[in-house]
Amino acid sequence: MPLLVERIEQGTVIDRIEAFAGIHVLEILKLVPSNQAARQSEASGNEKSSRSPASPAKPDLAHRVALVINVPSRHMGRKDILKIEGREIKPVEANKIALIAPRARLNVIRAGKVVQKVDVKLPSKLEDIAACPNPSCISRLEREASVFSAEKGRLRCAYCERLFSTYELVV
Amino acid sequence: MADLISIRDLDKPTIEKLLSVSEKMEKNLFTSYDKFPGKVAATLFFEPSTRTHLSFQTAAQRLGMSVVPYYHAASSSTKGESLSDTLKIVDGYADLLVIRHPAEGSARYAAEVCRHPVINAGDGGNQHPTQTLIDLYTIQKAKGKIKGLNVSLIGDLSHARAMRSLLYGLAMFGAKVKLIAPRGLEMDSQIVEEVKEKFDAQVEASEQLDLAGADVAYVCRIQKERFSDPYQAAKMQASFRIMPELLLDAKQDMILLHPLPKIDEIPAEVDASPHAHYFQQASHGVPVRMAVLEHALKEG
Repeated sequence: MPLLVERIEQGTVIDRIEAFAGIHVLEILKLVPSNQAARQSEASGNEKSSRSPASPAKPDLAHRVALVINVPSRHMGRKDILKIEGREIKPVEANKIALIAPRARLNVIRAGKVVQKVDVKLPSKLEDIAACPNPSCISRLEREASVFSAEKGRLRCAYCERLFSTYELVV
Repeated sequence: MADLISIRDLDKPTIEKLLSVSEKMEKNLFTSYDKFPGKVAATLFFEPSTRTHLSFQTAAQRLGMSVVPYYHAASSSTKGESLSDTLKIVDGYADLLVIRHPAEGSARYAAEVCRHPVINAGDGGNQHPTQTLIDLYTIQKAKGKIKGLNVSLIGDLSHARAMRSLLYGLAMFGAKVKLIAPRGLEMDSQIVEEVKEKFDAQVEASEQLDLAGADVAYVCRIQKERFSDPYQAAKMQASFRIMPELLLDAKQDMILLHPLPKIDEIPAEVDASPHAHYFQQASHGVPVRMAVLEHALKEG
């Protein structure tokens, strides 16, 4: 029996997300309370600095969201699909999801129709995507946001200069 | 570029220019330059330092600058003042800031916060770019070149920021590098891969302490303070000592360098050996840092 998900009139459908990566896409787009933010908050309790480490902005929890996981796909074998009602994700914002879903396609929906299709592309510079995993990095101890540059599929922290895999940052 | 934060920010022509200016500075070291009268350099050291702090202060004074030293233990940081606030205050007093801080990336952050040029004097385990300039200057001066030399980096390559920076600099200049470290204290593989890819560098690794074939042997201490087990640190140090008999296998003109302080990895009897170049290397701290300060003030 097919799995039915309601159509949306206005908002965004993100297709071609790597299977099982959709849950992390929700976190990156701040559509759910972030586990990472909670972990960071817990960790900061043990640090000497009075400042919190780099943490994502507040989540936007005002929208209905459907995440379909492990859907059969002709091109990808299996994929996840994310439907967000009432919020148009800007391509710049969506590019951040290229970290874990490099083949994802953004479909902007208005009046029930697709009005724009954009394939995500990893930007050369990513700000405030996640805290730097290096506990000795100044961005965790003092600065209130992180900055990474993309280098051949990995990300280099602009401060401590260490390289991380995308999964180390996001998952 | 006015700030000097990481060796990665420097290209080869800029380093060559800095080395050339360092040479001029060294030739006229004891004449009064008085190039920057009225300029103030603030030296903010949040970690202990002897050579780096004193050589920066001396370099600034030889250029005619005044120096405002900041001592962490006697500062408001101990009351909980943020680094950002401290930097903003000092930036309001000085024309240039030299910073050493235990957090990695702290110098880059300082450069963002401050209007005046910032020079990195060591940020945690990350970078020590002025030490690399001193090392390259010393090798070039002793050997007349860097390209094609066999350079062995020996010791705790995992924790020493000077070694991370230096590997990058040596690779940029075409030296052949051998990384000799005890198991568990090897150089971060990321930086080895990076220099191989970026500079097509020849880098090999070994656990065997052996000086045969090296033109330059660069030793650093085992950083005991980073070990949870002091016995383990002492054991590793004992197996990585440059004893006089080891020098018998070395090329006659091999030079032995060390960023200092040396503890027991090079015993005192080696100091008299013609190979020992580490005190000359330390003395180059002043002219090289004079070149760095001049560059920062001219560009800034």
